[in-house]
Amino acid sequence: MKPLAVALLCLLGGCISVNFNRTRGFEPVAEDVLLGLRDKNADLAACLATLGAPNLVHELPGGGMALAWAWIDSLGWGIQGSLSVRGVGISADYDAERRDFEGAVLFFDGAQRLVKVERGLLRDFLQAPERHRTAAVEDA
Amino acid sequence: MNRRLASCALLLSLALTSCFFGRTVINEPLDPVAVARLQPGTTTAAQAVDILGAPSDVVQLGKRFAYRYDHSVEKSAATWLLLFAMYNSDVRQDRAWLFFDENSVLTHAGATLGAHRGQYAAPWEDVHEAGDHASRDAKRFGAR
Repeated sequence: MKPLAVALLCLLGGCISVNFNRTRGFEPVAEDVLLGLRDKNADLAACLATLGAPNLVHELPGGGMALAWAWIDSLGWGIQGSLSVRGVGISADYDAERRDFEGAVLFFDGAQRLVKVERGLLRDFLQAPERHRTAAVEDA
Repeated sequence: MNRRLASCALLLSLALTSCFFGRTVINEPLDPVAVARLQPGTTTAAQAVDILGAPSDVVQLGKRFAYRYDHSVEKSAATWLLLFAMYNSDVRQDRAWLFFDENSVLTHAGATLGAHRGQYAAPWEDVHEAGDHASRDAKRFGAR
């Protein structure tokens, strides 16, 4: 019975797997550092000196710009299964790991003074300009 | 006893064949000495390109513009043990953003030099402690 169980376990490894994953990337920005820059109404030079180079730079209407620092440290479980029935492959995948980049976005006015700081999921900031985009003439 | 030994050897061989270490590198590392040569107020965009090479991205900011330079290193490690798999990935980056005015003169520069800090690790391991960074920073080329 035992050899059969071991053989079955070995065979199942080819079609089912339980995963334990971790994804790490870039350096997080501390909340108190951000608050310190915001309270000082810091300029671009001070922000770059404190935080280093951002991951993203976006132009804003009115001569301003937004600089984003991103990082990720996610840990989670997942399960994958695949099966071939009469030459047709079937696969299923469940992944509980949340692979969202966190981010800190600093907004600067035309004089390159820090006017606003936001912290959260980076995808929310990246989607924001699209939500406010005006309709194209042919769409109106 | 021999049968148990054979079973252990079989399981061990199955486990050992299921590991990998991967390293993905994008672009060339930034040279800290070259980055330090950039002088806001005097360095022009043409001089910046002479020093650092072609940027990987250019962003228009009204009449001004910015150059992005980056270099990434991703270190990944995985192990499969029959039905169980573990995977860890760690991405670190060198980045520099150079901001120029409408006359193509550098006004601001920011650099993050962290690509050498990436580590192979198990998912549960804590990495990137201050001590880790200090020892890796000391070995980086261009370190003073």
